Amino acid sequence: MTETPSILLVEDTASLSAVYTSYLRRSGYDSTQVASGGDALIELDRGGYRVVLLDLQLPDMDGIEILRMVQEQKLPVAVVIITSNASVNVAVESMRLGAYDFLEKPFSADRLIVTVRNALKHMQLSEMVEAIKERTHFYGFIGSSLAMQSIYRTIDSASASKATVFITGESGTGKEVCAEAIHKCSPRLDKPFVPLNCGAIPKDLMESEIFGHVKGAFTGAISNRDGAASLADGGTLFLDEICEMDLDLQTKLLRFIQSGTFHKVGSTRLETVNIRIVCATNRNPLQEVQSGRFREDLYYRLHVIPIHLPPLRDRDEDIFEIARTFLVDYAEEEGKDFSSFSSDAAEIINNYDWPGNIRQLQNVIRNSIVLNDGQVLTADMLPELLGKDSQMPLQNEDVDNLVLRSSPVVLSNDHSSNLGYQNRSAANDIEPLWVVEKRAIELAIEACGGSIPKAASLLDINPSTIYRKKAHWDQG
Amino acid sequence: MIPFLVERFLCDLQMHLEGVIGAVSSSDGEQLERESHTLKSVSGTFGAVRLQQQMTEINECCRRGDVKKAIKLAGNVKVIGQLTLEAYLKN
Repeated sequence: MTETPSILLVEDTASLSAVYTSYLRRSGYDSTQVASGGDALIELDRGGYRVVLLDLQLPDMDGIEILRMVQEQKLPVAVVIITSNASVNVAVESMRLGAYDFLEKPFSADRLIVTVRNALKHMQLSEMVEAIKERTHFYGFIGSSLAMQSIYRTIDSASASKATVFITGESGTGKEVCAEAIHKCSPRLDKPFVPLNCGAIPKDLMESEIFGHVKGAFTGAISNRDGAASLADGGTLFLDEICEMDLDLQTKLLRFIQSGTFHKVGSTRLETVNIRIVCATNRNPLQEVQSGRFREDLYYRLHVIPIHLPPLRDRDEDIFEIARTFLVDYAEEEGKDFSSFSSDAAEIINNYDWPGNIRQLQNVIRNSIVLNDGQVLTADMLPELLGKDSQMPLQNEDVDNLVLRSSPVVLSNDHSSNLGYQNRSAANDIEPLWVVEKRAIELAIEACGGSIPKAASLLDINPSTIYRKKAHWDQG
Repeated sequence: MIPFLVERFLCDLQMHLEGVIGAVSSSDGEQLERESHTLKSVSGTFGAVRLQQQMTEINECCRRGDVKKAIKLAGNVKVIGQLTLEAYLKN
């Protein structure tokens, strides 16, 4: 066996150094020899060593100091003490300082080689464990929980393949981050990564978005256009919210996946591309298949490598790790001094369910940083989260805390906005639209302390609209 | 390789023997501890058993603080050292 790992031999006695070197070389191990503590430190600083054979009695220092330095700097080396002073005290002190083994001089060649071999194996295993354990960040992901380590390993394995990956997970769990990670880990990383949200594009335009179109294919097609499939040629096509795709288009997608060929809308020419497909959904795809909204054959064609991203509440220590990263990043971006959380803020963050997952956490941290000042982000700076749902509730009449989300004060023709009014479902309870409108506007003005521009901003209308309507109402 | 190693051994043997003898003549307990420590390892590694035993005893006395006894034990170190040298030169 010929191995060339790096062994550093620290021995000031020339004959002993020569003997140990010959023992090692006979077994195929190369080594660097130094005769002083100072030279040993220089070599360790250079790095590249896995095992250090360390004599304790050196001309310029006690070898224990070198062992202590290795421990303090957490250098990835196994230190084997070689000394003729094998007192219990020395042995205990050495092991306490992290020495891997202890050899009493004189020792045989076999003893040395077995020790070195074991030390090298130990370092190899340690490196493997550290490589797995230490992944606190992975291509845009933040988190070292066991759940995420499993995801990272799956991405590592899946990335080299061309097989389709099907990512599932609640909204805000990082499905696009996962797709990008797969692309960046893959041999296709120098080629395009093209994301397409199947839920965000009108159904009529979806086919053109994916496959492109030729001039005149439909009204508005004023020139030829490449679709996402062409743009992703050689790279990765990410189809987000794939369960939103129309059934007819699912059929065409299935044909495309099977053959790698397609026609642009309005074209008879067969196009060929080489792409790797990653798709994602926050729905349960099997349920969509069972309810007839998703083709079963397409599901099984896509569902080759499934990756399920866990919700944030299942990621234990990752919650705070992510929150801390957002705190540092957004404090820098917003020019604020925040550098840490108070213990009660940390407790709230760790114990909350985060139904909106990472996206919600991101918004909460950013909101807290923007609206507050200080070095420590305290519990009172966080929105009311305990026992509440993910929507930021109206805290009080204070305009600065007014955060209208899915129930905004928007005038709509379907009379669905309620502003906290009782639900008027009976026909004889329906009021004229102008009455509802007037009440909504007056309430907004009152909530804004009489400020019409502020009220208009929150109502998402022009202030002149309010002035005009008020003038109209005043005229009677 | 062996001749090279023996040559190195003989160099170290002479150097550290002189060190022990010098420490004995100046009653320097610290130097005697250091030199006997090294000579113990060197002689043991190269099979000079008698010298190794003597150096082990001297070294242990020094570490206990009994420099007087260590010096006494080193009384015939010149002779043993010379015999060791001759044995290796002959072979």
